[in-house]
Amino acid sequence: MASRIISSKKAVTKMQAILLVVIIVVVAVIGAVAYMLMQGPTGPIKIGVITPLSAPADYLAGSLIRRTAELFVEAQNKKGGVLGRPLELVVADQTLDAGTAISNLVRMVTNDKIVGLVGPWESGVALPMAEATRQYPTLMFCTYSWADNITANKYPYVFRVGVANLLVSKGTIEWVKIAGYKNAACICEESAYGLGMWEGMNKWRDELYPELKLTLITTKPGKTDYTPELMQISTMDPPPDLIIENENLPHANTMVKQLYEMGLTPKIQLMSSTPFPLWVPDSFWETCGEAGIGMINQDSQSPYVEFTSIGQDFSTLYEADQGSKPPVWIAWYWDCLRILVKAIEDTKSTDINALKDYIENIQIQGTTGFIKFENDPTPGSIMWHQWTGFKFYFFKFEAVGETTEHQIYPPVP
Amino acid sequence: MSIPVIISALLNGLILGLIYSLITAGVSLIYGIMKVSNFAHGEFYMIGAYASYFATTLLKIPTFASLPFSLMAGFVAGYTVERFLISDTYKKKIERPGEYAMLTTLGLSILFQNIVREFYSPFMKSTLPILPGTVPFYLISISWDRVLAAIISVITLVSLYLFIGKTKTGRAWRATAQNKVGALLTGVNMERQCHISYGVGTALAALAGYLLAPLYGIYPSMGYWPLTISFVAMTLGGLGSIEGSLIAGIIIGLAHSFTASFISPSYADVGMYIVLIIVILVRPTGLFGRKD
Repeated sequence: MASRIISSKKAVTKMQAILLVVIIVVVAVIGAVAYMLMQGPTGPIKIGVITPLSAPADYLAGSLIRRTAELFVEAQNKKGGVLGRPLELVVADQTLDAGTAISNLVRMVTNDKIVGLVGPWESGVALPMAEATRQYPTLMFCTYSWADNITANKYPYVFRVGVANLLVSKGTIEWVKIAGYKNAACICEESAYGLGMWEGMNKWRDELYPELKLTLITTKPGKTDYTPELMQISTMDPPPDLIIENENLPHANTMVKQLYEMGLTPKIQLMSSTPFPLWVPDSFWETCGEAGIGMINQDSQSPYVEFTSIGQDFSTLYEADQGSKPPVWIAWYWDCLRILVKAIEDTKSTDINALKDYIENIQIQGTTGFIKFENDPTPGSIMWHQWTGFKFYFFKFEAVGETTEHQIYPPVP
Repeated sequence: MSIPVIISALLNGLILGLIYSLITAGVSLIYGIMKVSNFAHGEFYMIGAYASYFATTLLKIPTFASLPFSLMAGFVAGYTVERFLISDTYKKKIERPGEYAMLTTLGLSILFQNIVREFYSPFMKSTLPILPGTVPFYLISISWDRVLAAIISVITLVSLYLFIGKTKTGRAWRATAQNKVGALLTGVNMERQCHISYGVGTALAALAGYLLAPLYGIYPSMGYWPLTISFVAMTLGGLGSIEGSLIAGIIIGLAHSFTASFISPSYADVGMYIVLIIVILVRPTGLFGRKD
């Protein structure tokens, strides 16, 4: 091709071609240098957002997380940014594919030079991302990725301002003990979440309530008919006095419906550890109808507990933008961003190790309470870069359409 | 292992199996006549469910009255897809028609799911029961909707079997399935028969979606599991065999129910695949399949 160009009378000469290549190279080098200079101490401080933005991942949660990060950056830049530099977001889709999420993380760390990132959601992706931060160091903040290993694996740069399977299951067993149930059938989906909850419930049963009998019934996520699996509850001898459901959407709703259809509920009390009925009540009640009456739901948010003043400021901002109050996990992402910015301001640095050391010992008022991290180095302990200042609340649905009207535990103040 | 447990597992497995048979009927019909693997089968099932949902919510009609909307939506969607996309497989315009049909229907499956998710809602919906209430039976109770789905499954599959075997259109479908050129030479309007049979196959998927929407809920990815089940049942029963679909569905339902009840719920699906592997090893064409 090149020889044809050169040999043609109408085409560019060899000299012109060389000149063209030289010009392109020079322009590219100048551009790259200018870009690198802009990234220096006077350029923006970049924060990554890797969160689900497309189906089948939970893109509804992801879109709220991204918007929250945008609100935070807008508010912070109005105040003059951080260390006199503007904040800038770099956003990428987490997807449900860990490979895609990790390649986005690598690009953000190596090309965009982010100081930290927020937004990971599904544990199945968040965990490999956390692993990737060992090779591509960046501060990573999770809130509602429940897998214990996100903190138990002792990743040096990963922090969790939110719940974990082991902590949720502790809340569950504490409530089961107070409520006095003796024999529980646990329906757990075959996932990091479902089986993590099962392991957690067993651990806390042994420690807190050894008289409690737990029976595991595993289910495959994504199926539509669980009657064969649920048959086992019908054949339990003695029959259980409680069914604990640890399932994700959409089959979490299907399960409630089929338990009712099989006559197992409300004869046996049903309790769900996932707060989907509280997050998307219209869908829950439309799908389950009267099958949902009597069900008990566990959540880490209660209408009887006020946000802190920080949380109320955020709630006002969020409500003006979204038209509804923020869910608690969104408020926790706001906290993550505040922690990151405070660390940069107080250390006057964007050095990852300086920031990590600072955050490990940070004490800061959050949206729902005071935040400080547990840093237990014991192998296997989830209390590593883990915040524990949240509580669990239990709500019972007395009628179709209810959400948090009847808080049964802890008692309403 | 008491008698009530065995009877309960048997009944639950039988009804579940008949539901699986119903889900399989459409995909089996399409493969039997056109030799096309319809990977969008689950989405035609979804279309039937959403058609029923929209008819009941927008027109304020009871669920049973929404059946014509589901059937029509399933048929029109299938007819259109076949007319404009799948018909190329037998018009010889493409080099690898089987692969083309597989990839086209797979693409349609993703497209349909995302259209619903983006332009309507990703959240679960449901229609009201067709027949409210449940009937207690030993250790369990079974909803009337589930019983209805099982009965309609038997009626549909027997009717379809008789239709293909006894009617003029059925003969034209069989002729098309055996040899398309031969069918053309004997005066069969082959293209039209393909359009219609594909539409009927997708309408059967929509019928399953309509009947099962009150039980399983309605959401964009609702077709994933029915697609899996229908391909397992079709392979077990024999590719394209209607009677095979009926028997295979029942076998899978019973395998599910007995494995979950007497071994472990964790192995409910394993039971289904073990049955499939054994049958394929002994009879590679499936229970009622024939060598081409």
